[in-house]
Amino acid sequence: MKWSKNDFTGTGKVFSFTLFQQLKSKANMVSLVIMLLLIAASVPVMALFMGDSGQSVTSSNLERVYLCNETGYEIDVERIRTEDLSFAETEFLSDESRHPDVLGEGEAAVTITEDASGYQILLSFGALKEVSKEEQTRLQKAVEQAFMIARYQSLGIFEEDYALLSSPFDTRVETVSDYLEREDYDFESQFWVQYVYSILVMTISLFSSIYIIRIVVEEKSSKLIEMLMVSIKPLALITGKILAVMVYLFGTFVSWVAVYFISYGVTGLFMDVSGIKDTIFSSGAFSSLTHIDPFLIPVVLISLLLGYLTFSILSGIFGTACSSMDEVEGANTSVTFFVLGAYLVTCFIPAFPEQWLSVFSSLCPVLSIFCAPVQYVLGNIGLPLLLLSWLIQAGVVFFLARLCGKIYYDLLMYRGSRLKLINILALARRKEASK
Amino acid sequence: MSLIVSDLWKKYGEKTVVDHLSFSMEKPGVYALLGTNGAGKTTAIRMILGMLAKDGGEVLWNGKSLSPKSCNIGYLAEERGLYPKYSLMDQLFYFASLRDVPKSQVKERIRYWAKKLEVEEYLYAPLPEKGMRGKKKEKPRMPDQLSKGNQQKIQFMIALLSDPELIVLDEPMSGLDPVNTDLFKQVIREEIDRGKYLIMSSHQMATVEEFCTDITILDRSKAVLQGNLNEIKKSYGRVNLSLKTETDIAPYIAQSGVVLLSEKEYEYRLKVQNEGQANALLGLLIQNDVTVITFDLSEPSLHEIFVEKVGEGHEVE
Repeated sequence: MKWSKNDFTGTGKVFSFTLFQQLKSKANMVSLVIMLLLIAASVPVMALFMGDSGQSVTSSNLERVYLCNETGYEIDVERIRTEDLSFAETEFLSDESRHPDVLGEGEAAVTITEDASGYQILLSFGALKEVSKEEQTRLQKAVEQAFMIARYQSLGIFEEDYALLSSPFDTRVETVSDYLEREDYDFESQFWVQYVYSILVMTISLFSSIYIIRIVVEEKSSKLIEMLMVSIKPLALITGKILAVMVYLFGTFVSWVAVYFISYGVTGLFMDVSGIKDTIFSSGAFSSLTHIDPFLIPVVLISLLLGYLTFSILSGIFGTACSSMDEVEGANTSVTFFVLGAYLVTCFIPAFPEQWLSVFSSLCPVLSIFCAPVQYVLGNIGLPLLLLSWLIQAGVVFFLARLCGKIYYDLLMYRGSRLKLINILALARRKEASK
Repeated sequence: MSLIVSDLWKKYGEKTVVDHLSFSMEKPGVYALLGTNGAGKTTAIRMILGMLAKDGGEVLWNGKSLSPKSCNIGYLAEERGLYPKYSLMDQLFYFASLRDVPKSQVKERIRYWAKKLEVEEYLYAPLPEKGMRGKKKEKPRMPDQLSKGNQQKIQFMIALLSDPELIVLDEPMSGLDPVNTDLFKQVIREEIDRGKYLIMSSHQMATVEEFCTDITILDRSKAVLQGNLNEIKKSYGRVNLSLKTETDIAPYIAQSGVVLLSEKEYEYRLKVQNEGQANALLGLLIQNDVTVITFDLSEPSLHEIFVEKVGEGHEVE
């Protein structure tokens, strides 16, 4: 069976109608708004549990700090106040020395001196019952930091250079045998990236199958099919629906992400969101993303698109094999079986750091939807293998579309109990044989 | 304009479902496709409309293959329904767009057909009455809130929205009450007057007889009778005799050799072999001083022709 342009005439009209009805659906809009509210609320809630709130930063009991700097390095006291917000209301008086005996409650004296052995910082506090040990330590760290920066600045080293110089690094010592036995594999990072991407694919696939099956069965059970097909070909009918659901779903996901970032930005104005950021970065995912480059966005988008098309066409076929809304659950279960099956397998793949497994999971149909971009991003496969994976996935999409084109009309006209995959394939074979 | 269906056939495996069907419509009018259940009418219609691939034959409209591109087609399918959750107006606009109705004319056409088919109240929210300001505005009804008959009217609207040249109606009047049946008949008559080509499939022979000029009777995928309805009837001759008398005439009927079909309070339905036999019976009655109130000699009805033709095949079996 060859496709012609006529087979897709009217796709745009089906697309517009389906998308419009999705957006008009009260149930869809209510669930979208609830989801957006939950996402918006999740950031401040997370910030509350993960990081100290900016509003809850308690001011230090230190009212005044006398700073006596005898070293000649110019210390920026404002920096101490901005680095540690608990000292925002503390008054710093430069070039004033105070003997510990005369310090009152809420007062401290910092003396920085220089001798033959180096520099010394002496912190003296007036009344210890008011100023806690924690506050003392914080002041100590803030002063040390300010003094260090002052020293660097005297050498012409400024903020960015300092950040570079003070960035942490690891040192590892090993013998030849250690090297040979070393497991050069970061399981945590591999698992994290695979897990997050698999959940994304699974969510999109399950959502798309639910929407497409519902729309297809609704139309079929409405008994409008014949009146539709006098104006439009079956392929245009299903293509328009798949594209409309795709735009609706991707739009929904984009709105989720947008609301998350907006909430993150707004929450950041009132609360400390560094805890959320730290949690994400400390998960280990980003340390392993060796292939992060502008090409990453099209890689993810193309992979998601191919995955979406695979499962949505499959959903269209399974949906059309139903005759009434009562059978929707069965059709959903069939697609879910494929999606969850592939998802579960992919969760185990990071546990086996074998090169052949990376290649296999990237090329095997259905599994590759979940694995190929992840394996590429993690550097386990190269670009040629990723392209080959896409080619195979596109082939699967093409095969499903051909199958759909071959039997879609018969399935639309079919009335009876839900056809299973084996019946659908048998129908396709019969159609082929009848030619 | 002309519609030519020639040598159309379709097989499912070994079973032939439409067996080399041919007919044509050279001028506007109604062509009836009749047949028992499973005779192949709907399959033939689907093939004519290009919804179902044919194994052989062709369908030409003005010499070109019939398609939604070459001909503006309106179709009321036997299996009918509406999207239950989408508003009626959205559905009408959708079908109008699928049938390429110019956007500027859609509202006007919907309004026209809504008025014609008396469904305005279901499509348009009524204007608030005086003194009702501030009260909740009434919404147009959803499809599942309509009766079956009113849903059928909306489907008929969908079929007619594009002002089609060729209208295919598969059992258009089934399930309608007498008032709505008359409404549909009125619309069909108007469409015929406007020079439209109609193909109608129905089990209601009286309805078909009312409109159609040509017929094909299908029996088990084959055309068993085909042609102009008047000529077919003429070929049968005037063989139906309805008689109403004041007294019992059973002995005279038996004497004349006429076949008695039914009798109720001296109203007789009789089958004669020819007009001569009918006249002979009338002569016998007059001769015996029987008062004849009604003497109506007519051709067989389409119903009788249908039963006879389709019955023949089944008797052989």
